[in-house]
Amino acid sequence: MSRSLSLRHKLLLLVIPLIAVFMLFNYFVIVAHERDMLREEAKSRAKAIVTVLAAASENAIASLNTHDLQLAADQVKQLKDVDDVAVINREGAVEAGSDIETVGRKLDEPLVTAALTSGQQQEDFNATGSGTLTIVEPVKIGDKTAGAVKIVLSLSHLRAALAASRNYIFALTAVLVVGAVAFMFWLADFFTGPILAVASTARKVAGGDLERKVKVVSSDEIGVLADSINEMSARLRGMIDQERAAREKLQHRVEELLRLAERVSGGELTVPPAPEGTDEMGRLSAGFNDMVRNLRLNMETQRATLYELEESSHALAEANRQLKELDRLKSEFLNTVSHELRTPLTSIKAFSEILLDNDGDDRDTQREFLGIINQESDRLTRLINNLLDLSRIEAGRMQWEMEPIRLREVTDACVNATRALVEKKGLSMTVKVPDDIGTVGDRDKLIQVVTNLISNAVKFTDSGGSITLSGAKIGDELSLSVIDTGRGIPREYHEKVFEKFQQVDTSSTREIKGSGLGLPIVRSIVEAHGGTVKLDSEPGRGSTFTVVIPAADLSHLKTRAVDPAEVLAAVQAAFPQSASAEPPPTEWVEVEKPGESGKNRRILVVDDEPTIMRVMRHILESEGYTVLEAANGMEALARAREERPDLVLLDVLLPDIDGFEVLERMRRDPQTADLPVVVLSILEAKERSFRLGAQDYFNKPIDRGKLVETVQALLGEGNQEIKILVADDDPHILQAVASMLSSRGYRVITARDGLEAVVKAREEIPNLLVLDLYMPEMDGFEVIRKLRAWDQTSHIPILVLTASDIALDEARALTLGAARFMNKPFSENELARMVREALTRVIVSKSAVEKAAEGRGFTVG
Amino acid sequence: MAKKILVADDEPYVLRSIEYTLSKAGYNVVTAVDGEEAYTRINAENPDLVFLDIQMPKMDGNSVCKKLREDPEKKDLYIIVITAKGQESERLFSLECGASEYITKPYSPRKMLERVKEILGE
Repeated sequence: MSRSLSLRHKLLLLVIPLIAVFMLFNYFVIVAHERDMLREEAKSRAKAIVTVLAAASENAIASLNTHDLQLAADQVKQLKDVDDVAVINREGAVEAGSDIETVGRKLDEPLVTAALTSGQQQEDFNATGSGTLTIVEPVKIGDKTAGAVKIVLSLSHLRAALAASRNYIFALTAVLVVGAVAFMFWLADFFTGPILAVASTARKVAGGDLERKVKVVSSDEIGVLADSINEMSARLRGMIDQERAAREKLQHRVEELLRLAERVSGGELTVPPAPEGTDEMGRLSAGFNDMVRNLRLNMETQRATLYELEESSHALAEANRQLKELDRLKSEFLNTVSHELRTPLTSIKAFSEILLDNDGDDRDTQREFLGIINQESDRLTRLINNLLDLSRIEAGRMQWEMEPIRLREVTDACVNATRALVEKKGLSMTVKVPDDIGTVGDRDKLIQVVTNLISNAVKFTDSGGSITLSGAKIGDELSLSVIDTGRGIPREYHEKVFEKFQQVDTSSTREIKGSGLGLPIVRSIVEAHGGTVKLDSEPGRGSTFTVVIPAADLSHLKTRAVDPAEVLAAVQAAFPQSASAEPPPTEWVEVEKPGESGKNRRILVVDDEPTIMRVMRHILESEGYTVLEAANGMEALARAREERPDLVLLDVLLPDIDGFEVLERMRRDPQTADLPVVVLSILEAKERSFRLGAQDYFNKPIDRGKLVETVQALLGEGNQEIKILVADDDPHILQAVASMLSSRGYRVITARDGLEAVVKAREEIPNLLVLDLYMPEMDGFEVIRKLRAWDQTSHIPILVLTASDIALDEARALTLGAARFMNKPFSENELARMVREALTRVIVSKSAVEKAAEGRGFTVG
Repeated sequence: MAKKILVADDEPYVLRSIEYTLSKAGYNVVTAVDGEEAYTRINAENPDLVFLDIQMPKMDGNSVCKKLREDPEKKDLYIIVITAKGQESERLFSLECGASEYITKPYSPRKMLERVKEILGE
């Protein structure tokens, strides 16, 4: 059966043939049964007839009364359905019968024969035609078979009855079948109807109509199915609702995320984080949040970088501005210097020429002119000296001769020097300086300071006024004021007067001429002594210049402390315990190292970039080298050949021929083939540089330390060979000094106390000792004494680092061994400079110097 | 009648040397020691030639020069500025301010006199 058929049809197709077959079977069984019944009935009737006839025939046979026999036979023949009757004798011949023609004839029929012989009733059913039943009953007299009676019954009636019955049954069966089929249809509809209804609902549900419910009419399986479907659809509805809610929620989140993403892509990075979670959306949100966070982080980093860039660009701009300002100041300075130099020169030139050309002038005029020439020459000399002083101080090249000195000595010297000036102007001068206050300083420079201040006061004070020098010791400081009763200086000029070539340019100052360098020099010198100078003045009320410098308690110094023995005496008086055991002290002085008259190595720097040149010049000159410049390749070649510098620093990108070609040509020229060359370039050209014969190669920007180290190494003066012993009990200072010195290539040995310093100094014989004065075990003074006492260490120069402002310490240490002093705190450059300077010196006993001075001659430092 | 020359310089010795040289050559020399005095005296004395130092109190030589040139009568006045500054730009500035020419310190009085004679047509 095809699967496509409906259940109803399947049921009908299955049941209807079944009913039909059953009914047919029934029909045939009933018909067969009916027939058998009828046949049996016919048979029993025939038997009854035969039996009656046989009984009736018994006597007749026995008596052979044929008539009776015939009569009986006829009577029987009259009976319904009897077709044939025959009475047969023992021999088988017919005695009487319905068929007259057969009477007397022997009936040769197997049935008859069988009956006669067996004495048993025989029967035969013949279905041909309308059907007959033949029965033969033997007739017995006693036990003997006397004959037989034969009867043939026609079955036509029977057959008709059977046919009628059959028709009836058939009709009944047909009716039943129809009824059954109809019932089946109804039954099929009865069962499939609800199923179809359920199915239809289910289909509708499947089609999306989840509101539809199957009507539950029964509690049977279909009811259960309907219930299940209803439940299923309800569940489905629930699920769909859930799904829809979830989808809406998801959509909401997606939209929100999209909104956020749009804001982010619009540049807004401060959006709130999207809600995170463990589902995909949540993870997506988390990823999004991460992304935004990273983006923000990147942006912030970039912003920071940008900010730094801006900062550094500002710094650069500021540096540039400062450079420009410096440049402006420099050219202004040069202009002023030019003016200041040319003015006296003009008078000198003019009057000398006048004198040369005119010999007719009178003697007085000639003397006047010569006087002017002389005066202006002095002015020029003063100016040049001042200029040199100032630039020396500013460049840190001034050789200070520091010594203990009484303030009164200074002021006395100044008063003497300016007496003529003061008197000439008609001024009075008062000195109020105690005898017992003093400092450690450069005597001549301090005299210069005070003289400058006095002559300044003289210049600005009108005749009849007075000048007062007032000194005092206030705490650790020494104060000296130069007070005048002059016209005073307006407040706005108070700072300006200390600037170079700045003169207070008012009408009344016209006639007062100075170099414009006096006060700047005063300030430079005072600052170099660790002091300050300030001005207190108001127009019309005079001016007071006050110098404040560190004081030293030198009450024991009676006179100028030029004689070390006197200083020593003072020291011994102050420290009797250390001095008592000392033998008469040897005097030690510092002299320039023989054969080391400044290194003065010349380096040719080839670079067309003025700023780079300035930087290189600064670096190299601060290391004590002389810098030769060349701004292009040809100039470089020429200067290298003519001047044969000790080293060439060569840029690659030059305006005419590039650095490689310069290098190549230098190597070909026998004059320059051996000069060490270091290539400096922004290009990565190390290999090429080395191939062409460069000794080293640097990428720009230049690292100062590396450059200096390389230069020193190439010039065979690496600091590696220079041992410096640093002794300080403060580990931080020790560390700082050691690392400053090592970074400059010196080999540094450290000691944490005086004893260790002495031991190490003896072991290592350092080129320099950097010494703290106050240390445990053994103080710095003792260290110096010990070193001086031993031949191998007596020459070692000593740089004393001291945090104390006690000048007495300095005096004592100086006396013990001509040490150099440096006050803490100090800058790295300062330290480097002091170390460099100290390294060019050795310490020898004063007597040795005196002896040597007669012969070859050291220079006393 | 001797030609009149005004010399302005705040340096007394410089002033003295010029005055001496020119007077000796027979010129009538008028002096001034600052810019304002120079301006006033130029207007009062109407000199034939002016020497102006640049760096002077009150009013510098360039300003005096400029101010003089504003007066049409002084348009053709021959003004020599004396500069002690070495820079070319300073000299150019003086010319822009109206100076006829400049001399740089130190100078030779002899050559200066020769130039004066040239200018004054003698």
